[in-house]
Amino acid sequence: MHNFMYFKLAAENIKKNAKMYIPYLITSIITIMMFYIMIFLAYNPGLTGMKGSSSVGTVLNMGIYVIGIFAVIFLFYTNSFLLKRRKKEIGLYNILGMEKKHIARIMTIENIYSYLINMISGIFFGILFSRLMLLLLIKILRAGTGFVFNISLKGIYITFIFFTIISALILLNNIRQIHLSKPIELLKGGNVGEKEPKSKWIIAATGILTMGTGYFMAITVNNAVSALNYFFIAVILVIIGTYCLFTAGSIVLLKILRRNKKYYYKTNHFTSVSGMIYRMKQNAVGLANICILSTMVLVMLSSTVCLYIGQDNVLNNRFPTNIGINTIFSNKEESESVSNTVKKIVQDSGYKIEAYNEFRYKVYTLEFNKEEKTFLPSTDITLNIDKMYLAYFFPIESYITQTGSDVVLNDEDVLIYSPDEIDISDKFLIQDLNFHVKGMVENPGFTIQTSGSYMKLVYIFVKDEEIISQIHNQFGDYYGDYYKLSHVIGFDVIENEDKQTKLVSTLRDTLESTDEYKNLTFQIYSTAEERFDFYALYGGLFFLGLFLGALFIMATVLIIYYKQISEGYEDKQRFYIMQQVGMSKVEVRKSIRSQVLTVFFLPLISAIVHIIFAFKMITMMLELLNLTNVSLFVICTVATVIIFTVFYTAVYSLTARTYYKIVE
Amino acid sequence: MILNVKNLKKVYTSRFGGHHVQALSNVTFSVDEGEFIAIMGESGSGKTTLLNILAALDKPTSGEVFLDGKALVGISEKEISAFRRDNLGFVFQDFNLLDNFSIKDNILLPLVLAGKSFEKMNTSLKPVLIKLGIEDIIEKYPYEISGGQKQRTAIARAIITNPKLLLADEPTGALDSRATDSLLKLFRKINEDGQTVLMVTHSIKAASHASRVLFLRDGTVFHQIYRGESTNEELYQKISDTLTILATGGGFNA
Ligand SMILES: Nc1ncnc2c1ncn2[C@@H]1O[C@H](COP(=O)(O)OP(=O)(O)O)[C@@H](O)[C@H]1O
Ligand SMILES: [Mg+2]
Repeated sequence: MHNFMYFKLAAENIKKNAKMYIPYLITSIITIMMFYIMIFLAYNPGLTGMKGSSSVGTVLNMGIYVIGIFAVIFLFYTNSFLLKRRKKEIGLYNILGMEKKHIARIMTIENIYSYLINMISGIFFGILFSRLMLLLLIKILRAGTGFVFNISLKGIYITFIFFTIISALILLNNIRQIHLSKPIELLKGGNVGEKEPKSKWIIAATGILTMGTGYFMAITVNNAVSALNYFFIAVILVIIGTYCLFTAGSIVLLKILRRNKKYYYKTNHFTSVSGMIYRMKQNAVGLANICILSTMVLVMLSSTVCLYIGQDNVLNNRFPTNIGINTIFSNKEESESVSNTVKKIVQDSGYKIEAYNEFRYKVYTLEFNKEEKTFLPSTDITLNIDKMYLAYFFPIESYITQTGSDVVLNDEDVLIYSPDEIDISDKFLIQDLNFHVKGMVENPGFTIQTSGSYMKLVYIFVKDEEIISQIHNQFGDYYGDYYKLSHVIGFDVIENEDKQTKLVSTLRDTLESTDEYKNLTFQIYSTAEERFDFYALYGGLFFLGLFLGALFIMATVLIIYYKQISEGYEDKQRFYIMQQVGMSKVEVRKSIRSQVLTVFFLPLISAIVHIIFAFKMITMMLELLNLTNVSLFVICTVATVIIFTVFYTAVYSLTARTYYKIVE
Repeated sequence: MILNVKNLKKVYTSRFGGHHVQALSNVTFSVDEGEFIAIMGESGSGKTTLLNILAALDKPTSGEVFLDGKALVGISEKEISAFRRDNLGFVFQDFNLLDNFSIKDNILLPLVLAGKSFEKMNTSLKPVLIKLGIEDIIEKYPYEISGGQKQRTAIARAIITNPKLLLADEPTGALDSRATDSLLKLFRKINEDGQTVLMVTHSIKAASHASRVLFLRDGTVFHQIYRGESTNEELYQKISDTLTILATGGGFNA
């Protein structure tokens, strides 16, 4: 055959299969475009100058990897879909006398065409839209105009290399498939009913087990660190479970129904049960993909939106006062001197101190043995995370100054405050020292930390610092030999953030240059400064959530579209036969409609169930990020689910039109 | 008289209205109970069109069809499907079995659609399976059996409702000669058991099993041959002679 012929045939093939090809090209182009934009943003020179740039950089970089991994999986998947649909045509060429190597050559040319289209348009649109995305990012980060708009050569370079490799791999895979296949199989194409593996039951059972375990983990988790630790495992388990249950579980369930003769041989059940078996066999993997993607979109959007909206809540949790000065390890005299200096500086600057609080404490991570009512130092936090407490020890005077209480403690007496459950009522031990609980406190009058984040939290108020030293002594070397306590000063000044920032730098300069304090280490913060880091981190996450959400939604749309088309071609024939054996048009339409609805809304419903089960776990992980506003998260999740459902339904009805056009 | 067809006309109009194809111009004939009718015609002569109209799957442009005295043209969509289910059986060239049903379920399909009880279905199933010799494959799926077996399955599905009329469109068209022979014998046997059969075909061999052969050309039935006392071979010869005369342009009066 003349070489020119190949090019012509390849071009014609693309044209002829436009219904399949165009969506594939569009998604590839969008994927390439987004990949380029992500690199452009992550390596934008303006980023380095920005406050909180490292957080944004990390987040955006993560985005590059996610899109990259996604691109590989997704492009391979859609390509396999294309190939499967076209097997018949390839088989026909083969039987009409075209050798496999010629078919492979046509295939190669086709792939090169689509590669060129994808790459050129992908990068073109990438450059075109990168400016828009940049503006959006700046807006979300509330950053200044530090970002620079240019064409990222690095972005073009990486995108080019990466997608060239993917395309080459896809091409190799296609050629391999052509060579492996027998023409007769190719001819039958997708029409051959799939042989059922014998292990359906085992797979279904595995599905129930993994999904059950994943769900169980998600709902029984009771602290943030185990949430973080188990989240990944739970996600993997649920993903495995989803695939198993969609592919095997659905079939097993339907077969049980089919085995029940009385149920099965009823007009409605008969067509729907067998129709569903057929559809699930053909579509299970695609539907499971839709389910997983939808779940990811929902989780990502709801949590990042929530973090973004709730960032002030986070800020308040992390930093209870506008300005804070922590001195790590100081003795009592030093602390007093520091607080006097601080007060003086603030007053000299002409500001008024509000909500002042000050306390000294020592903090340990201790393991609490419920049976023996004993706190012990623990060497391995991760093993016993459920028993671990972050234990703050305060002299009672901090409590008295904050609350105005007149409580009097003896050597063995303590007051206890814990936002988490703790099983202490009367007597307990800290290693070998005996203590007696004089009372449980509802509100300690100040916040040093709203929750232990990943551990349970307990405040223990003792008679004086002497007691704290005794406790420390018996722990020995493990916690070091610092007898000194940490010292915290926190207060608000009612001034704008610029002035606050200025005040904080004065404080910083003075404290750090004072000779008297040269042995002390200070941590000085102001919410005014920290806010930028927060906006950078949460804004970055929010942007990434939107960006990836859009990408995943696009993937979902494409899969739904492909499914509708292939369903359509297969149903056309069935639709006709049903009428011949005596079903009316209306009945057939009704039956097909209900099946198609079930098939397409099953993934969405499963995704929503996943979200419901994951809710508690995600709430706890958000707590790690200091977001404690659960009702905000509820609202974000519900809103995301509703919006997504509306969108999903819209996509469904649009693609359903294509479907009905094919069928009728 | 079980079927009475009067002055059927069918004109296909292309979607944009410009193009007209006259598939049937004026078809009139009738069928008595117990007959085995073959309707012969070249490809494109309107056989499938005729059958689809008889089955009420398509509407004629004009003309009337009476099955057992009931007019088929103009009854409602809802009535038609029930009527089709209760009175008509179909066999098609490409079998039209549903891949997602087992052979057994394919056969039971019309009964299930008619809302029969499972016990009733089972009692109807047995004799049909025996008659067609497909007891061994009922748990299989259409893609696992041969063409001949598929066609037997299709026939089983068509006759399980005891239809008044069995319609067949080129039932041997996709079969090899051995399968064709045994299938035609089967049609004969079913007919001898009292089933009225109407088969359209372009195969002389298939037609030579019928009790009467109608010839369709230019959209009308213009000749017919009765078997009378002839054997299959003699009938085959008659049909073949008729077709030769047709090809050389001779004329007949029906
Ligand atoms: N749905 C249709 N639309 C337009 N023309 C049709 C349609 N079905 C059949 N025809 C035309 O009607 C004529 C008769 O077709 P058909 O009944 O299928 O013939 P046969 O079955 O004898 O081969 C042919 O010319 C065919 O092209
Ligand atoms: Mg035909």
